[in-house]
Amino acid sequence: MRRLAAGLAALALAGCATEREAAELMLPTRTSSLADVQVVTSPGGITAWLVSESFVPMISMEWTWSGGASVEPAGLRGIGWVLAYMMNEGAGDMDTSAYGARMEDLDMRFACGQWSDWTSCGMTTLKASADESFDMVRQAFSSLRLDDEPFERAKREMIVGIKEDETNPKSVASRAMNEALIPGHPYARRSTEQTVSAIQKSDARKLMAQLMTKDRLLVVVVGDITADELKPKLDEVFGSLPATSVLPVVRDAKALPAQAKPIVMDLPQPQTLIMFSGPGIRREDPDFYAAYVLNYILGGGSFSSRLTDDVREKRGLTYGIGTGLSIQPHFWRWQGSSATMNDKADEVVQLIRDNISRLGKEGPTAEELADAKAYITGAFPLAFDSNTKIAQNLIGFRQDGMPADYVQARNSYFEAVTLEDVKRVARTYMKPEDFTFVMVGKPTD
Amino acid sequence: MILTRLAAALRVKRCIAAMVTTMAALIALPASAQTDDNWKPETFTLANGLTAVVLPDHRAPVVTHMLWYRVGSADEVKGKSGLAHFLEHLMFKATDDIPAGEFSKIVARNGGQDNAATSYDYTTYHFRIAKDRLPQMMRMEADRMVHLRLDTEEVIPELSVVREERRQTVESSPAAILDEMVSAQIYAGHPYAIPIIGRMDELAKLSRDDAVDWYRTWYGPENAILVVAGDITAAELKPLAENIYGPVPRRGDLKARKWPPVQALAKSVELSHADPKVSQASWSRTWLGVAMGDGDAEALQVGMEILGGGRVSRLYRELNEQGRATMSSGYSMEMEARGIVAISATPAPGVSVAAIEAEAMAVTSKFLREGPTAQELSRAKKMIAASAVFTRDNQMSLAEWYGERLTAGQTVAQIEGWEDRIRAVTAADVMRTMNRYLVGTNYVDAVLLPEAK
Repeated sequence: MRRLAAGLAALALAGCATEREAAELMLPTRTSSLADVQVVTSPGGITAWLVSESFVPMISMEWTWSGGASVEPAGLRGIGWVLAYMMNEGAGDMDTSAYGARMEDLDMRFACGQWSDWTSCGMTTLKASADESFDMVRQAFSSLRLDDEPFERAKREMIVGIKEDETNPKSVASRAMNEALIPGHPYARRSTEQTVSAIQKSDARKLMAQLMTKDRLLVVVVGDITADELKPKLDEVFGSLPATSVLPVVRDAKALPAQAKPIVMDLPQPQTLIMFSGPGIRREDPDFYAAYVLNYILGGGSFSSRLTDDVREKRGLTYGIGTGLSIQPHFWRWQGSSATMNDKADEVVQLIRDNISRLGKEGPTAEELADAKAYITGAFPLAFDSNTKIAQNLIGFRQDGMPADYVQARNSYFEAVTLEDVKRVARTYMKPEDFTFVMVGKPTD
Repeated sequence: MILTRLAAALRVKRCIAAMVTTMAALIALPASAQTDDNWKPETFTLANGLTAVVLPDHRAPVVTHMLWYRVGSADEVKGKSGLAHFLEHLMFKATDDIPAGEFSKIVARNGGQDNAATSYDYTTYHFRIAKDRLPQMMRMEADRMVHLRLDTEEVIPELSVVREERRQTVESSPAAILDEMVSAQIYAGHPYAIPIIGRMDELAKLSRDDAVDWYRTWYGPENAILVVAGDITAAELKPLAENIYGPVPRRGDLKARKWPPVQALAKSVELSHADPKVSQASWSRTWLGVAMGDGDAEALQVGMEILGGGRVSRLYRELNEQGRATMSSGYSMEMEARGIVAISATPAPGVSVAAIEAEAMAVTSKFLREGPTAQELSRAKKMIAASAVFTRDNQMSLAEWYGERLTAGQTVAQIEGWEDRIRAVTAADVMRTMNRYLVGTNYVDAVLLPEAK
């Protein structure tokens, strides 16, 4: 085993030892691009990103409209969720049972959902039944039924979900954070039993015409279909949508100053959930890539992050700690969370503050920067090993406003980040006094 | 095909990323069904007993490498619960050549992701990485198969991590607490009755020596199965495996696994757990099911799909669509020794737990009497065959599908024959198996209840 051992020692010290590989153990890799994105425009003017890929005889389509829960009428909060629920509950001459059975007969999946700024849908079908599956989606958008039974069921399930959220630690923490930072903003508004009960079918139809328009539609298709086959399908499926609509304007949220002490939400459990939030960065900001790299070093990089090293590996105080950049269109934050036994919660909050402070004052090391860039660029292909994942990643890039060649260009933006960039971003954002902490549990025990 | 709380709890992972969403999440849609083509897994075995299966998929230049050990929490001895999973955590610590805490950092520096999981039946380690980095990763995996180094200063904090994991995933979740109670009853007298993650008091007493003993007893090439999915062929993997895993000596004195038989309950058990964090009561009934590879497995799976698998299932139509329940499900889960069959329902506001139990059981009894309609049968078979075979869209899911079955003793040919066996299920098979497993007093009822704050 000596040979093996020697190779490993070199690996551990050098960090990256590709050049040390014995020739007979090399694996050739293709240099082909990750996802060959074609921009396809239908005769009717609908544009989609297409990755034509025939390894599995299936087609995935993801599409989304900008505009989500934040544009809902305040008194009808929850209506977008109900509308999204209804999209696969019956259309044309098919009631909910017939529509559901037909989807199963076709082995197709189709569902919609709503987030604060987006209304999104996904469809996966076999190549063999693609025509029928596209037609099912067409019917949902051109002749949605909104029958009584599924409509009431949707509202009932939503009300139960609202009740469950009242004691769900993550929901409790998010609500407390929103109340502390952006009270009154649409992002902080909650649906209640009253707002959901008030929802009428006519409201849902009105919202559908407002949200689901051609001008705010983004489409991605991945799978066993060509551009010429896709074009007529785009018009078929989306042709009946209104060209445009007027949506209420959502103003950017401005956070209230951070609170000096953690906000404590009492919940009977042996562990305290800690959530923290500080000023973040817009996706369009030129420092976004530097911030993303810095976040990897702070808490985004799992076992390579400072917080995991310090709080989990060294001290055994948590099973998980992590941070991320939350880049909603109207509110952008640096966020993180962890959980620890109740009587260690204060200690973990202090450790998080200390780590943020140290990173802000000293910045990361050149080695940390190199490691972060190596992971972020090296792991990018892992997001492209299945049709479903490709479709979901591409729709994310479209939501971020990226061009179709972003997949090829993306790593170069990270490679360009310098130590000075990351230190500058660290000095600007890594200020513990700017972070608000929420604790959910029994941290004073 | 709904992954239930219980099924989800049956695997304990090394880490769950405490992630904050960076952009609007999209609905994850499972991949769909397939037609026949020339796709084939390839297998080979090394002289030291390590078996390998290759699942080619050349769409992206990446591979998923999973090493499975045929040992899990069910092999623990009395009083040492949680040891299999604890060792899984410690496998990321150090070897004679990899400094403490470096394992995952090296993987990440090479653009890879790694994690591990422990179940009753197996322990599995994986990384996903660009193909050209695979040899280095395999060297590290081979190294920790024999050269793991456990220092007390590494072991002690990790024990605290595992206890925090238990606090987070079990003790802060009323549903998970109840799931542990159900397993303790349905598997009474069998090691499946003991939680994979371990009991808190026993975890506290685990030592470095326990971990070393466990490692020396169970880890070795003859007890391991390698599954590699992605941009690779057996012709490419075999020389690598011979070079890297080949020199690892056999453990030699590998213990045979010995579990007592799973005993049917003589009398049904009723459990309840009340918690102030529960807002809506729910009810479930759990019976003993089938072992992985049992001849009844496919018919039972088809039957449970029709009863409670999706939005055209009988429970959904009779309970959810009638406004009686806001959630219902039915499934069969197979495990190496013996699995479970369960149905569950969450009553709608204003409906009592007693009423939903009666109604769910009325739907079940009717199905046991009448069996499936021809349309239900063909639809369920098609759905199951489609969704699981199209696990193939995802390297990781595919490698897990094979690994779980291989460690339970199935051959590649048996795994490949699964789709045909599903398609061959008849209405009579469904009737016979459903009436074998979902009858009598051999069940556990469990009720989750709100409690005044």
